[in-house]
Amino acid sequence: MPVTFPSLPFFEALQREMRAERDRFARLGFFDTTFVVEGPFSAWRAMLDAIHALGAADTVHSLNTLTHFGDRLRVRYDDPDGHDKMYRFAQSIQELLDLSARIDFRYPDGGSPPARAEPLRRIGT
Amino acid sequence: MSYLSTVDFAEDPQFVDRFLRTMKGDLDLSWMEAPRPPAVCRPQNERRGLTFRDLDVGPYGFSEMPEVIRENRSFAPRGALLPEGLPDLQAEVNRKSEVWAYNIEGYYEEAMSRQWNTTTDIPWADLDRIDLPEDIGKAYAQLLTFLTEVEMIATDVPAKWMGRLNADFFEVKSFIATQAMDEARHAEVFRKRALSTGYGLLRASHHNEHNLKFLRDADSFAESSLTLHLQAEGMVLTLFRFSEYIAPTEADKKLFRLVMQDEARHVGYGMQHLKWVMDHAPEKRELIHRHLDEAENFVFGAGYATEVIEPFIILAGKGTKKANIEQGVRITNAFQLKQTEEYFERLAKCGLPERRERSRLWKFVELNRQAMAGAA
Repeated sequence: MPVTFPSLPFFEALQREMRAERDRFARLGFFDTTFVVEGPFSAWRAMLDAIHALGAADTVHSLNTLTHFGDRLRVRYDDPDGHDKMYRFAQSIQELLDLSARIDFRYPDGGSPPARAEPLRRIGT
Repeated sequence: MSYLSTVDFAEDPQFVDRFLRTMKGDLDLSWMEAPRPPAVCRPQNERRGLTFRDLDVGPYGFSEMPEVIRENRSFAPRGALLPEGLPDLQAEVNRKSEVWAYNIEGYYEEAMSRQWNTTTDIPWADLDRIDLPEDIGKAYAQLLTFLTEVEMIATDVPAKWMGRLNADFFEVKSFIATQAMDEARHAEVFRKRALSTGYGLLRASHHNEHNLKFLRDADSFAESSLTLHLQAEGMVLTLFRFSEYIAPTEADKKLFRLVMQDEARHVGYGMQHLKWVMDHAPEKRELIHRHLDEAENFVFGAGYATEVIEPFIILAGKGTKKANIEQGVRITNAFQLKQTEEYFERLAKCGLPERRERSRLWKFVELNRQAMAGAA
């Protein structure tokens, strides 16, 4: 049964996938976040489509790349220290988002992310 | 051997007599009667384990540590009984406000939980299958040469200060030990990546090296931390994020995400240290400004040196054709504006909002803005 993006069930599914990879994420280290990533649905969709098709973000769809100049996705924060947390935990956050490749989900318009274009690749630690 | 014992122990009758009695079973045991408060430290969060924060109790902890450390001049661990005759190590830094940072114990634990391995965590085999075009490959090799140069000094500086801090600043000494390890790993990964591009290491930067020498030769830990942790590493953090943005492969992006994690942690210490200084030693405000005045001059010289800025332009524009260069200049200008804005933003958050107006770097920002407007 596919879940919808964005929705709580989508992020709960991500959480389950992360727990299944407990050892890998424990090795990356604890992390918490004090920032918000926001942007148009089209930017989120482009990122998730790339991840779903390739198994992990490609060079133009990593979270850092999409947020770097704030023209596609933006990082909102109250404190520069909170902003820097996005970078203190950058690899953990990217690997968390890459887990969406394993989730069966639909967009609000009923569309689906593209099928995997090649065997699953993962550059996680 | 510059330090010699004042006692020849093998010839000292009192020492030899005590030794012989001990080995016959006549124990002294006076150390067992040392009047110390008991401590039973347990993890507050069992998933995380026993952390430095869990040890913050009484004289063993850091919360009760005074501003000036007058008693402990030795290697004695904080909280231990100090017997007569301990050596005076002549630590250069004995004031808490010169080294301390809010959440220092948390930064140490974070560092320990987020160590990684250059040899095994980067998918080198994937990189073997990628041939970069010559102009991109050379630009990337030059960027990696610059970064290796930077990270070597970033290893030397915390290592230089570690033994000069009073032993009571245990958490800070431990944190900067992790920093030295982090920076050594960065120098390692950039060198390995440079030597795997096929183009080797290209040109060292004399402008950059003068900036690095200024960082290394700071007169005090406070000056060193201000320019290393907050200014230099803050700017390098933005640079790593930009490098991830322009990195030519997914493996290179991962490399930059891993180094940015470490760098952001060092910047976090620098920010929390400067906040601590502003809260506990506000009289240092002018000294900080004067040190930043000179530091920013060096930074401008280093950051805008041709061998530093041109690789960014080529990598950002993805080539050396006219259209590529124009695009690269536009993106690199935007990066430099962002880098400077973030620097002032961090300083403002630490209690130096006036730096933005006082700084000469601001004039360089204006030059950048004019360049961008002219290029539009």
